[in-house]
Amino acid sequence: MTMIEVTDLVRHYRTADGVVRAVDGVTFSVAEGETLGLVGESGCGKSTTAKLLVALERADAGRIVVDGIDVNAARGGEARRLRRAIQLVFQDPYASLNPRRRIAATLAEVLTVHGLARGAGVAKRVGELLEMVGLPPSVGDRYPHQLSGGQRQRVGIARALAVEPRVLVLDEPVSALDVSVRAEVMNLLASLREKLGLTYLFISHDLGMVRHLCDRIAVMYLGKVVENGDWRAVSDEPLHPYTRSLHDAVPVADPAVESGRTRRTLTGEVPDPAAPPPGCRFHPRCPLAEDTCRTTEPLLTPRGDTDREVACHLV
Amino acid sequence: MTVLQIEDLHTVVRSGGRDLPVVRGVSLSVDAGEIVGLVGESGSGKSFTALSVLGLLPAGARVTSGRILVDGEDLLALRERDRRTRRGGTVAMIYQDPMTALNPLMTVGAQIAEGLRAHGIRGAEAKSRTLAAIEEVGLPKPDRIARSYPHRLSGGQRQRVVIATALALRPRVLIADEPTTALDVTIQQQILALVDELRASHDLAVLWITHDLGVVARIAARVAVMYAGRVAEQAGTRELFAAPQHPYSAALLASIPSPTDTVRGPLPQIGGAPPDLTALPPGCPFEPRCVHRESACAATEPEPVRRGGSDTACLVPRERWS
Repeated sequence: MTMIEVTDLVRHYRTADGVVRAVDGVTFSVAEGETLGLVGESGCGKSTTAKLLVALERADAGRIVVDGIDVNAARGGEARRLRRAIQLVFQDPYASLNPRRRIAATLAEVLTVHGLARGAGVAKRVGELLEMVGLPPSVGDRYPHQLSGGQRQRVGIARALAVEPRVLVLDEPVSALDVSVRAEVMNLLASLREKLGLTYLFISHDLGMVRHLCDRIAVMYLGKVVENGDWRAVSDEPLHPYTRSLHDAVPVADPAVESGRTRRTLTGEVPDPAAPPPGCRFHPRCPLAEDTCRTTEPLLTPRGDTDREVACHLV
Repeated sequence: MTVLQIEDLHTVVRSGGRDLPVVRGVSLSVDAGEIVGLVGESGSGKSFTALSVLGLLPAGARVTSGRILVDGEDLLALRERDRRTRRGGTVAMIYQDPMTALNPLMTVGAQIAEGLRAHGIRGAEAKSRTLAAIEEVGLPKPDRIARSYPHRLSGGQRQRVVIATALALRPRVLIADEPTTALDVTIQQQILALVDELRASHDLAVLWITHDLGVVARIAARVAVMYAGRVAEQAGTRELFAAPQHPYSAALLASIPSPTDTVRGPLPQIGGAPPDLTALPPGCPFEPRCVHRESACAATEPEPVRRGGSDTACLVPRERWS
């Protein structure tokens, strides 16, 4: 069953510098229980995509269906059902936690607002949620600033799980954490997925973490998906020249691998999303670019007999 | 040739009426033309070590003992006025967020020239050295960049400007505090390549502070791993990654997903948390979390010993646990 279906999604922002085409025709789907990794650099539109999915922002065009609910059209009861179906976990859990409220009160509020528990049931459920994310009950009596970064991110996850969602959108959930704490949160995410049958959209710039957790990987560049496929195919045998450059740019924690690598260094900077280049948006930085690339925009099309799609004229 | 030598450095931070030991006897050295990675998690003391070298500790923090030698001269024994000339002149720093080092109200050229002027370089020479510095860090049209304000530049360009400012005075030592953490990976790759080029052409001694073991693997010849204010292990990069001698280094490396895994099981976790610096255990600070601990580990804090080409502050040799 398809849990997330995104079709031709568009979100533009009007700014002083012109119209920023943050998300400019994005299509992908995620099956129930599957984890899709969304990869790309700043300004590629991955975080905007996340906000559109959880209806924090409205799309200008295109369609998002989450667990059978049309996100753009959901009103009233449908909108409430949507808020319970899909939840966002932020990079910085501080952003989602009230600094003046104890953790237990924050979690209890979510439960009462959604009518999920009452009376003595609230405290019981708060205890269950903390246990689910590997925190002792005593954390409930603390304030966010009294917790370590890892504990705060666990609370952020518990808060998202309070409404019993089917989908979690994880926006750089381990990027702000120390190396050893990252492993703990990654393991927690993997075990929750299995235990609760969750579907994840895992947004990250860390290809190593994406490769570790995801079933499929979609790579975004300047508001578009340029490559999409199985985790091993995309991370180990990337086809799109941008995915290949990304693959080469990410330092690997192995000096033997690092010294033996031939690196395709990308020159130049990510272009201004208010004035994306014509044709293929990657062509000014692409080592392979030809005339067609400067004029005609490549479409995301299937390659071979796998389920891989690539938007490139040349590969 | 050793350019930077830190010997038994101790730094404390005054907090709640007592001195918190944030750097507890750090010794390390960096040769000319060498990049040494200083790795550690939050609270390990890596940034306090760097700030101690620069004499830029925040209010309430101070060095209590040790020596910081640059070309044999002890920076800690200098008068404040002389210390200031060494800062920037002999020892320069680049930061994670280039905007902390750049004045938003001054053009790039004016900022570089200001640094030169503080060290007695003025007029036409200052101007030509400013443009040369901008050109050297690979920025196009140095003239135009010199007239730009920082906010008109991209993140990668700003970091290049900060590097140009730092190197304009031809320092002997460059301290890099996570200068690529805030950058996108393709831009990070460009900056790493640039610093490596400049290291070779200027024969710079670079101390590169980071939590990213991938970055260390790419650019550092040697690594020092810090834990609870001490260097747990110091070794050649290849040696440390291939056969870490300290259980903390080993655990840190194991916790990162391998790029060649085909089966993706749970990542090995370290468990527990770093010790509270106000209540350090009497023995090895990593002992409470260490899976290879022996009874002696809780009794005395181990001093670094040379073992298999690395200096390791651990009582238990790797042969007993690997």
